[in-house]
Amino acid sequence: MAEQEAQEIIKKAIEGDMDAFRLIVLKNQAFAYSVSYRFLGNAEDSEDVVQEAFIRLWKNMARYKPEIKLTTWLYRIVVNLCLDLLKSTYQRQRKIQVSEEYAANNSVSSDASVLANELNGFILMAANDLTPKQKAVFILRDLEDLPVEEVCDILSISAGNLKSNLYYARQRMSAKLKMYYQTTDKITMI
Amino acid sequence: MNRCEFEKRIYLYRELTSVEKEITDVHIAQCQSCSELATRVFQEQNLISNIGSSKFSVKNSQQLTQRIMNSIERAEKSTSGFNGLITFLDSLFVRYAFSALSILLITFFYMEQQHEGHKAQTINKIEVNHGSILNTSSFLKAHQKRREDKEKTISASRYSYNRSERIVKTL
Repeated sequence: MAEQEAQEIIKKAIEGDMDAFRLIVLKNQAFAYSVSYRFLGNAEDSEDVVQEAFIRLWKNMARYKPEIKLTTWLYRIVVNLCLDLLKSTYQRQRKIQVSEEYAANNSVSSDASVLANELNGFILMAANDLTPKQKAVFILRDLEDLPVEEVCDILSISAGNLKSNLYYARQRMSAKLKMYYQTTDKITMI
Repeated sequence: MNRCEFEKRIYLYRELTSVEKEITDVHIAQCQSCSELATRVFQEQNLISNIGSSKFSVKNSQQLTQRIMNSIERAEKSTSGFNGLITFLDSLFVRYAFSALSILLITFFYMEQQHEGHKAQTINKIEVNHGSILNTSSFLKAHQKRREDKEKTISASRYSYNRSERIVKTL
């Protein structure tokens, strides 16, 4: 029933109904923001990417094919925008500020939350050292927990390519986490 | 299967098929180093999964939605004039009108070309019949006539000279 309703909203949006598209934005902007934040590490750029992604989605709604999930299409746009932004020199300069901005924006009171936030920031920083494709695969599969098929669709890669990138990404992240726990002596967290 | 291939399988355990998982589990149970690696990797993956479950949320969700919708409305307004023109040009009436105009133009150019071709042919015919550039027969005729006239003049003058010479002699 919910699926039918969603299809109805998409159909109305394709016909140019702004209110229907607003519902699509409300439903999907949180996920789109979360993905772009994990890629870029700062709120300002992430909001810009989300905004641009929805504008592109609106402009291309007429080309939407029901056999592809709308969310898959949206995430593909978000990921491509993020990867393009990461390639730019501006973003390479911003990488350094990520952890500081994350710490400032996520100040919490309890010790557990502090540790969780610190680890979250560390994972974001560590993921910056992965190649763009490894980073994309790691974020979508391990952090966002999307199915293998959907990740392959979003990134337009084969399952073999995904596994290969995922293996190297997990290996590198594992090495980084090992170092993190050795230097900060937080083995109790695991 | 060597250790390295099992190491790869441990890292990709979530993506393995049930058969592959069974084979890997059997190996992990028998191999000390793979068992240690599996314990560490599975713990790390749990930790990453927990971190992933806490999503980053927009500070002001409503504001972002409004910002997105405003920018879409602005983009729509700027393209509406252009879109109107495209819609008009895309209409069936305009399409038929353009097709008819194209056919008319093609017919006009074809007829014009045919007319020009006929004109050119006539000019060529005239040049073949009366032209003096490449027609040598007219030149030869004129040349022969000039030569005959010249010879006549020479013979006439020679006659008058001989006559005057004879008169002088008789005197």
